Amino acid sequence: MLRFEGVGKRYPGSGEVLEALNLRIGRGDMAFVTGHSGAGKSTVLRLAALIERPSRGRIFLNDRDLTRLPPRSVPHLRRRIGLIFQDYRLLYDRSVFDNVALPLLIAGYGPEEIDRRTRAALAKVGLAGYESRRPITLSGGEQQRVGIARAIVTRPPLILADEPTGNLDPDLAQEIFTMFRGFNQLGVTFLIATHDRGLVARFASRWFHLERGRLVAEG
Amino acid sequence: MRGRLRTWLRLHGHALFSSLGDLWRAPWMSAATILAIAITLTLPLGFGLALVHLQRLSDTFADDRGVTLYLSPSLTDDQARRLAARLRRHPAVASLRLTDKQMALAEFRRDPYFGAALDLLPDNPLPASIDVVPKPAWADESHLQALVAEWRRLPEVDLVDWDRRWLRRFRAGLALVRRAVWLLGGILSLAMVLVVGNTIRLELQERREAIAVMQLLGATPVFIRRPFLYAGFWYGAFGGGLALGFVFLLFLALRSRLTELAQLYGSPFTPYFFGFGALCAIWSGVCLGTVAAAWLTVSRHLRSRQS
Repeated sequence: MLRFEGVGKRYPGSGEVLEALNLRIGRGDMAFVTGHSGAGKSTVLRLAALIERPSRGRIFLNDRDLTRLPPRSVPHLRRRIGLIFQDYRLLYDRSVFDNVALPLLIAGYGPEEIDRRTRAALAKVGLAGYESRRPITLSGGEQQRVGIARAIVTRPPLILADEPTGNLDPDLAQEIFTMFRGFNQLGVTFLIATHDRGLVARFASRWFHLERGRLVAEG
Repeated sequence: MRGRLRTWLRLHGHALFSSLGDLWRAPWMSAATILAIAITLTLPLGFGLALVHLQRLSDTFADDRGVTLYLSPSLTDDQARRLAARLRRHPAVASLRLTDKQMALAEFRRDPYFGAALDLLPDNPLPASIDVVPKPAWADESHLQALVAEWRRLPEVDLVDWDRRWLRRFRAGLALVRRAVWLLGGILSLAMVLVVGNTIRLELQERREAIAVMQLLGATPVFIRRPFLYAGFWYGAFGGGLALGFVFLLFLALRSRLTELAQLYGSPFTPYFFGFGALCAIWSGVCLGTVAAAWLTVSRHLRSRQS
């Protein structure tokens, strides 16, 4: 489903963040990228979502070469990928409902469809009844669940999650990953960046360990 | 196709009203921007209206190329007609009109202010006159001067009046003022565009994070731009409307004075406001300007953030 071929990334003024990275993630995988901070985990996800472009190499999503995708096609690509962030990145001046509905609004769904899907997504993450709450009044775990509802509401085949439980205590992390596994069993492919090897051991079907921009182990 | 149209309408409807809601949620900033636009536009619109009036006034005056020959009072009507016939053959004359003593008297009697004064006089004091319109080739200043000098020497002519020179000066001045008003209008329209651009820029700063998130969720530049374009439209709609309101208030305040002044000069001229067509054109022009300003500002912002 997602394939990196000899991908390198360097930022002006700093060295190589990624060096000739090859990785392959199949449909239905629950894949993890691990490593210390600065190992290039986040960069892998940012490249897959075309938030950044690689300096070298090629990235394929469903056999489509993302490195050749013109900028105007990037928004349409992003609509088919669910993104989950460590710091949630919710809009704090809007209600929980509006936050989750945003991808549907962007994709041009009708009001009934938006209402139905948004409520369904909130129910799936256990936040039914939270529709009119403001994100700021929620706990960290609840905010991340709003973020997850927003990522799954368009039913994307691929979800990229960057340290999704980095700000949460272990119990909550466990809960969130159990939720991910549920979605994964319904056929959603996951690529998750984390430094928590314990989670990898328990949940991963594939994993890639990076050190200073190089792939040093995989399984 | 119908589905796409519905989607399009829904997105635009949503943006139209949500942007109005955003304006309402920041009432002071919106009011300040709208007022700034209105005040900026009131000045050139007011001058523009004054200019239209001056133009109308200028149009009520007769042709500025005309020359009037007042004939000597001792001349008989017959002699006057012979002179007129002779002048009609003059190579410089396009047309002329003879007003004999009786016609002059009748015309004068119609004047509401001075007509009655004639009754006090024993006989008709008014001379016959000939209004001459020269051919266009002879109508410039130097040719007219030569013609006037020639006709002054005629024994039948008492007086040559071509004081319509003031009208030519008036019209030249008017052309200058018109250009100045257009220039002023251009500069102040630019000011309006900058005011709107600044306001939109502030809103962009405020919604930086929201815009970044929307881009991550697959929002196209069109989607992100849309609410700002509608905000621009609302600024123009309210600001332009308010400016026209201000000009109308000014007009109301000055109308009675203007009417009075015009009556004192015996002019048929009455003050009037912009017509419906002009109002629509001005208002749409303002809206177009503010939408364009918003478009430029957001596009620049999005370009500068593209990595």
